[in-house]
Amino acid sequence: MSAADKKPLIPSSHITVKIKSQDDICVYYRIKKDVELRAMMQAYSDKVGVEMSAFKFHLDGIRIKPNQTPNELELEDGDEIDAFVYQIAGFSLYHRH
Amino acid sequence: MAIVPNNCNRNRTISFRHSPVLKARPDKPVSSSCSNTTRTSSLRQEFHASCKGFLRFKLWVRASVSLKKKAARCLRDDHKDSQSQQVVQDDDRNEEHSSSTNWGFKNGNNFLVSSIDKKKLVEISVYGEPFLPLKEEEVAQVKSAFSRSNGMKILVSHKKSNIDISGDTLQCLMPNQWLNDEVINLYLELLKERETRDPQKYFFKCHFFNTFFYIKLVSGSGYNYKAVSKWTTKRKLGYALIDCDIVRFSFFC
Repeated sequence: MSAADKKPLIPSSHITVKIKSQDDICVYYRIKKDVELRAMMQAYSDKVGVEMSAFKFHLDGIRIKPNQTPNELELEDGDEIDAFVYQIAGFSLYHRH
Repeated sequence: MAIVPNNCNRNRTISFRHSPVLKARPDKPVSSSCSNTTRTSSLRQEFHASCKGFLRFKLWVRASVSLKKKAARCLRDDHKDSQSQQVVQDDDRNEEHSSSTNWGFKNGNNFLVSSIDKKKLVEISVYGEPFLPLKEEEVAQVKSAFSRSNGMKILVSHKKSNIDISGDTLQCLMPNQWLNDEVINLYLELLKERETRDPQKYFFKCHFFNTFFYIKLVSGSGYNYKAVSKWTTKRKLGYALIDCDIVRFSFFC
């Protein structure tokens, strides 16, 4: 009964996606299907406190850009987006010193 | 496999593998006191160093800058003629060439030769030079791409992989710099594109995972298959991963 009551609260134009960082910390966002992902990415990087350009957002191994919409990417409810940070070779060497 | 034809002594910076100088003694031993041989070997080393690909891009640009534009053009025409004749000869001399190139690669780049078999060598000579000297405007383009003032400007946008290469990213190709993920991933995409464009020439079916795959795979304890299970669905790739001959992983450490 309660589940049936809650369902109409989420309109079909919205989906919930999960952004997962490399440390396995997940943040959930509810976004509109026809709105660019830029807003979500900006919100995420504000939350983490890092510039947006430092993140590389991937959906199943494919890079996604801020100007794409969930409709273009065929995002579905509950999909997971990975937020990777900049990789540079020799990083471990840098740490050794 | 030519870079600069060596008909002109003055401009001989990097020379052609099948050029007359190199052809003259394709199967000589390493330790020869003849000055001609040492010069040939140094030329060969220089050539192989430049063959390291885009990492040595800058070096190659420098070599081509020294060429006079006009001389380069007429030499290239000469060279094409001589090359077409050489192709016929190359078929029967191929054995010797591969042995001589093996010798040449001993100082460093063994991996290049092992992947190039005899057939490929012939193909390379048939298809012509993979590296042509850059024109003046191209050299100017390279210079502006590497200049610090263009740091934030997006130079290339690869649509399929959504990777943008800006001037800052390109700085990692300068000497004494570490590579970053974007140039590697873009290069892997380009390799993949090359394979799909020319399936006859590159007869191995390959799949290249990007550099983030390994991080994702080892997240959690042990291998985390669930995290990457969607990466290689047939719908996404257009082919099944199991059909590939070569699957390449690359990761940063």
